Amino acid sequence: MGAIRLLGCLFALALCPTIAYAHAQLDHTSPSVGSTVKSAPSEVRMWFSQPLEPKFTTAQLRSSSGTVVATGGVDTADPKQIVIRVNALPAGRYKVFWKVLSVDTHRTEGSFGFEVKP
Amino acid sequence: MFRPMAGAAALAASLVAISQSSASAHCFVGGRFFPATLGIDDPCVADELSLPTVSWFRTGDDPPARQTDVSVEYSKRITEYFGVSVGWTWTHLVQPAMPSQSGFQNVETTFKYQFLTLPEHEFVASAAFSVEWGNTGAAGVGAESFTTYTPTLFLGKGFGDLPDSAGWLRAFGLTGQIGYAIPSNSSSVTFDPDTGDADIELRPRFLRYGASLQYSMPYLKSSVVDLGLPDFINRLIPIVEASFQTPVSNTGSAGAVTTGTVNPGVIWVGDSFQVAAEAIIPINRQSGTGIGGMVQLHLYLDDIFPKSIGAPLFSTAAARR
Repeated sequence: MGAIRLLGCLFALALCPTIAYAHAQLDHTSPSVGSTVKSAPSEVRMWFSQPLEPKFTTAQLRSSSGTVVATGGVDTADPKQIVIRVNALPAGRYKVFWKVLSVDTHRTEGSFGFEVKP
Repeated sequence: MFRPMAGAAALAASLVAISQSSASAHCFVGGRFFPATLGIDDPCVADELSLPTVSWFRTGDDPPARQTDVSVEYSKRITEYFGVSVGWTWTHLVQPAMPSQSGFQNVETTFKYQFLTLPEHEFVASAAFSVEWGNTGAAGVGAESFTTYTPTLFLGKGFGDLPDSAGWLRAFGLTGQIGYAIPSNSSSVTFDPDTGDADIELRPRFLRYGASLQYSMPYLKSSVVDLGLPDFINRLIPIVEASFQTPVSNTGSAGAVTTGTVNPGVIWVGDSFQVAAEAIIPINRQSGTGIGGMVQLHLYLDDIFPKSIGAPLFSTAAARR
């Protein structure tokens, strides 16, 4: 019976978002992952599942040649978002590399691409 | 006289069952997440709890017995890359024309060191040393009286570093393990009280190996292409696991029959736990009879308790993985 109670408590904790933290996962982006956009975006925005630590969060936008086009960080208005502000991007393929630290100190990282094709 | 290990098929079934219980880890490598797998272990160390893993199948005995296992495994990081796990399995055996048997399998302890992590290539490797402690389980359900030591190598590789032109193929991931199971004694001798004949039971050494091929919908969505699918679909990882063991020495007249199972299934990954369901398909008659199944609830303790029992005991880095 004790084991069943323990299991119940742990499962309840796992289901309870106000208690259970998690690694920060990329939820969605704009432009969206793998998309082709006709007009050059003025920013690249990423939404995460957890608040991020600004000091330990980085993001780079690179061209297809690997050149860093712009960098960004946590949006001051929403700690769950990263924003990279860009000037008019020429047509081409781009890749975003991000590394984040969630507020509960878990690291995650990733990358995704999109294409500007007027 | 020499004779092959008694109930070799039952032993094989129990070893497969034990390997099925030894799954753990919350495993991020670069942008890749390797989920805890059921048939084999994943290649990372972590603070996690599999509670429970339930499997049911019919053994390779003739006639086959119906076996149900309920397993628990607790994994604890000592440092960032070194961890210990302990597993228990309770077994219920229903045998034709015999009373059913219940009891615990031997306790298994695994010491694991994640010695190589290459985030940019989504590659990870760990070395482990597992001990199945003899005489800690019930002989009636196949728990052996001897201890078995199994050094094992674990590997994981995601294919996200393929060129972008590979497209959806980049969401595939592969994990594998290979180990060598060494019994503490190579044989045991018993004497027939009536005839006085010596009965020598050989204890083979086994090569234990397996792999999983997984397709990560979370990776597809976050790194390849966001198809706008429902959140439930985006959290699925369809998977095929396979685990085998081959007696490689000290087999006597029993030969070297490979036993194992192929386990197709799916894992649903939440923020702090995962659930999984897989079929158990034996590869031959000695591995089992018919199709079984297994399900698992797996808790990520490092996410549920990030600053207490989910953290490494000794951490040299300011931030955890």
